[in-house]
Amino acid sequence: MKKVGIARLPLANKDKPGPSTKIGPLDIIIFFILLIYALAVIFPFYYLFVVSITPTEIYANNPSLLFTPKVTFEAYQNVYTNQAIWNGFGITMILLIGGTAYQLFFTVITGYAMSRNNWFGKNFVMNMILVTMFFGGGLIPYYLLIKSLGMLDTIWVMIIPGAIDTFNMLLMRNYFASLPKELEESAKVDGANDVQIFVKIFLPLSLPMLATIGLFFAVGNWNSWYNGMLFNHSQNLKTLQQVLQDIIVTKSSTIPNPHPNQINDDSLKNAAIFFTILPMMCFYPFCQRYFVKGIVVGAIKG
Amino acid sequence: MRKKSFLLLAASTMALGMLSVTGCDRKNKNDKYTKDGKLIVSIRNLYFDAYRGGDAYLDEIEKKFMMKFDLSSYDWSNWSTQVNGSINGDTMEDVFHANIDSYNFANTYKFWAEEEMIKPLPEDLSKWPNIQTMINNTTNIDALKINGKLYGIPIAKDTTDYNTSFSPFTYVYRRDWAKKWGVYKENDEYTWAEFEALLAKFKTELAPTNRYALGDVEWGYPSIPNFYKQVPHCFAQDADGKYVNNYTTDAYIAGMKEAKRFMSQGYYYPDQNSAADGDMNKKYYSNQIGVLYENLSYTNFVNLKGQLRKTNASIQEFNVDDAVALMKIKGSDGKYALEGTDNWFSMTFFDYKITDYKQEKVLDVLDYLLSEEGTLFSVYGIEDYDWVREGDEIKIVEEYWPKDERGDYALKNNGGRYLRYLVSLGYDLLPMDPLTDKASINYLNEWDAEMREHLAHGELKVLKENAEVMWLTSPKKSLYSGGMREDALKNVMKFTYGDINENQYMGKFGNLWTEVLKEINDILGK
Amino acid sequence: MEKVLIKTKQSFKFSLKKRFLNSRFLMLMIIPAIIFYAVFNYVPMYGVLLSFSRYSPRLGLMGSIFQNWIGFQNFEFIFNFPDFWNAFKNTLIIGSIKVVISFISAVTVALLINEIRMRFFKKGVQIIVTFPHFLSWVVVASLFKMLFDETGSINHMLEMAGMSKVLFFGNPKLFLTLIFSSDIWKEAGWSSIIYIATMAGISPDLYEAADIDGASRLQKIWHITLPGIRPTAILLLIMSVGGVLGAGFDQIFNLTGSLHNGRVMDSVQIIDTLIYQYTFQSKTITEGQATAVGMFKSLVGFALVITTDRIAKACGERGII
Repeated sequence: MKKVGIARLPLANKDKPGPSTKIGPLDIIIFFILLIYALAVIFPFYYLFVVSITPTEIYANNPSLLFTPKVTFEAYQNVYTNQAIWNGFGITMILLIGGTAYQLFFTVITGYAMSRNNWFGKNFVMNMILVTMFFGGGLIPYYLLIKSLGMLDTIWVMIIPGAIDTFNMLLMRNYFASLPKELEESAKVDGANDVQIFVKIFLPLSLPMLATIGLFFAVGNWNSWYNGMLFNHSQNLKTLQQVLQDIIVTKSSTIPNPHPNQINDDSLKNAAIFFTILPMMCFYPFCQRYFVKGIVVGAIKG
Repeated sequence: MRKKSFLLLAASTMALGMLSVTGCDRKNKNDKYTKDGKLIVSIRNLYFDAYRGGDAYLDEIEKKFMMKFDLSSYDWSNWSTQVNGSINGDTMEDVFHANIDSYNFANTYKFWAEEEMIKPLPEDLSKWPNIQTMINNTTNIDALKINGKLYGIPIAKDTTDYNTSFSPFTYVYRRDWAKKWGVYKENDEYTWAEFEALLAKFKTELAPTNRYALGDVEWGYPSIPNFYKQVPHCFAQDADGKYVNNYTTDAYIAGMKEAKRFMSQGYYYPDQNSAADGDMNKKYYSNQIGVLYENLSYTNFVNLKGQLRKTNASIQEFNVDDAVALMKIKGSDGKYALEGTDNWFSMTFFDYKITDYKQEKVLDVLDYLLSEEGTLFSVYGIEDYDWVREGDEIKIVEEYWPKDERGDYALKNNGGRYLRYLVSLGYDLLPMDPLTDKASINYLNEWDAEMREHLAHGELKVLKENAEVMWLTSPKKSLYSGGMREDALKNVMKFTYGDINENQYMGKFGNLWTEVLKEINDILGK
Repeated sequence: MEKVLIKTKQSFKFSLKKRFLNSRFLMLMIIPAIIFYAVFNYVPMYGVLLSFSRYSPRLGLMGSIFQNWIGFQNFEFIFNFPDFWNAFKNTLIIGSIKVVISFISAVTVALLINEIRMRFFKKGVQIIVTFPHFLSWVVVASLFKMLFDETGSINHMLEMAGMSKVLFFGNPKLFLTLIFSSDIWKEAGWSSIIYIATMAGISPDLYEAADIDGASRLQKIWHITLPGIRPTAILLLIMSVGGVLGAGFDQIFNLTGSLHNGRVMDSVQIIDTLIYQYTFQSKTITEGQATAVGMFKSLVGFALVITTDRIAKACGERGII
């Protein structure tokens, strides 16, 4: 009873019987193909890192280097002392924590309500939601809406409009629908109402799925920049990705800066890129299985 | 009855009195003030991104003018998206900043002016003599007047001695290599044949180490036709004065063929077409190419120098002045060639909702910053505190100027300097600035003076489109010319790489060009 | 979906009032969603009318729609845009090749990962190959640029191996290959997850039966695994067809150095880049025209989804609508 749902979904094929456990030539071929594939994925990251720790003098004269004879963390120091990056990091952290919780709350309750069959007007609401997946009004009305809601140049504009993500809501709905009907029915017999059933029975059962959706939102918030770019103008409200873009995109020097910055662009850029993907790299291996679960539930049952 | 009329009289006198009072200080109750009575102005500009406010100098200006500045900046990569967003949503800041060129003119500046989204400057600018002078010095200022009104301040690249009839889009080269390999010519002057000989020598010497002789910055490729063509971009004139497609003129084709020859001879960096922002610059300071075509403004020049110094730090005898020498090349017609530009490219605008009073206050500040006093303030800071006058000379008080870890002067966080970017890009500040690399600025000025002399003697060809066609707004031209130019440059690139032959190239310029040219010639009566 | 419909029909047996009362808490839970979709999706929806008018910021949206109504002029303008149909063709070609390639690559990766038996290695590979999905195209493009241009590591390696250099950015065919392979690099691992999970859900009995029949591994893949993932594959194909017209602006924009690479541009010019090229330079696309483009793309995408769905159903597969 405890491990209904997500745990029942076969994720790893460890139970799958094979004819034998002995390793044949096919296994070796597959092993090498996958090894090469994985290395091909890793290689650019490796290169990125190598460039970011190579002294300018060495990298500039050998742009295709694969190893560095000398290591410097100057670029990382520059990233570390960059006020804008830390400010952006702070804003992104607010989005990551506050935004994710907010989105999770609304998406989950909607997903739950949409997964129950027995209420008035459900189909209408469902169709209303599905239409928005295909059609939208365009940028200007959206801008005017945000303006009239008074959210211009506030942190809210990066949080509030994201309350419900339709795709994630459907994932959640499918998950709730996949849980046994008897759970609800027996609770109903005991006199519990829908809110109680949801909070006391379904929510505890769906913690892994909440983690999944939460991670989707977290990644979205970590990468968020568009709303901030369009609606906010305060430097202090820039997200980490906006700051990163400012660093990566080369600016033509139109104002005569009497003392131009003399750090090697590439190592600084790469250090900044590395800095922004590092947290994901660290957390991803531990979270990856939740991403997998989310996708599986959503699509197979969808 | 008498009482009543008396009351009426009293009331009307009071009303008149109040009117005259408000008329006197011209304050408008629509404007917002801080608690201590400072007028709040919101300003958004591309150049504030490096500036976060909160310095004593900004406070000083705020105190002086009883104003409070709410400063914010645009993102470099999303500038026009952000400007258009706020115009379409009618959420502009009181003072804002947009990029205006002849290609987007009709659909930005002209459109906004006609829609009255931006407020024109007061007709009489004599209250602000410095702004007046600066506007009078603006090239093509008549194009910016709509129904006789000027709807913004063109931001000057320079206000004083920097006559910008041509721009420093030219070549730098490794003089040290040229000397080493024996192809150096006195005073960096090269005829077309000598230029090619230099490229050939560079090629032979550099090829074994996978390096190349020549590279053009991504927006400048191919630079070789500059020595052949008549105008920089789309619309050239034929012998009868009729406007024709510049890209299909004989002169342009000849230049393109030369570029193609240079490409096939292997002088050019072969992956030129893949260059993104800053790539070719990087190639140059990484010692990967020997000659670079680039916009050699002071900033770019000093940047190249600094980077080169850094990438060659281990070479003892490395002379950076020999590594970034401006090349003076005469085309096969014996003339130097440079691209002509206006002395501005972006403008400061006022929201149509801004009150007359506030607009005038902003102009007061900007006029002050352009004045001698304001200029000194923007560079050095507060008189008798940051700097002192000793006779005619100005001396900075060393202890109040920040230094970096190497003991050089560091950029001073001065709000005045950034506010001044609303009217001038500050090239006039360079000679005064203690941070400026004096050797570089002198070197560039010498080059400038020399070119000016050549111009006077008719030895310099300045590529410039006629103002009448450049700023013409006609339906089809306004719609398509920007895209047409991009499209043409693509085909030019293909031709120089030998991807298409001359016939195929000529075939790429279809009906659209014919229609737009016909429209232009009809309107201009050619 | 069908199941839901049947249930609703049954529930009509109850009285309306009773149903309403019974579901009052659920309806309470759905209220935020209704408000959210109404405010953020339906309120701005009237903006599609802008595609039939000329936007004037001074008049505002409603004012522009009522006073500047110009009928189908915006659509006419777009369809007569120079090169529009060439870009449309490119968009369809690149978009559909991407759909096919991403499908094949995802299934291949899934099969490989499914077949490998070392559990630790399998997990490691899966973590690594799914990661690039989270990077933005700005970053991926600059990575690919560093690796594949003339001075990049790949050419360096080719040279060390005694081969001549290859200009990946200088030839339309090679460049398209680069476009597709960077797409695979970024997305194949991520898209494979779903197939891996589907494969894991195939009943072990089938494999056991095949073992008894003496089937080889390849035979089992062909006769059991691939048919096993067919419903999922078709579902995903139908869903991805809707996105064909968004053939990847970010990718093309960043890999062509902001559309500067003239040697390859003609073959990778898609609707979005064409619009950008003309808009960026001269701001010629009015807001109304941009809305019209958006509407055109939505409609075509929707039509493609419906068509594919019908075809799938006609072939006896489960559709999505």
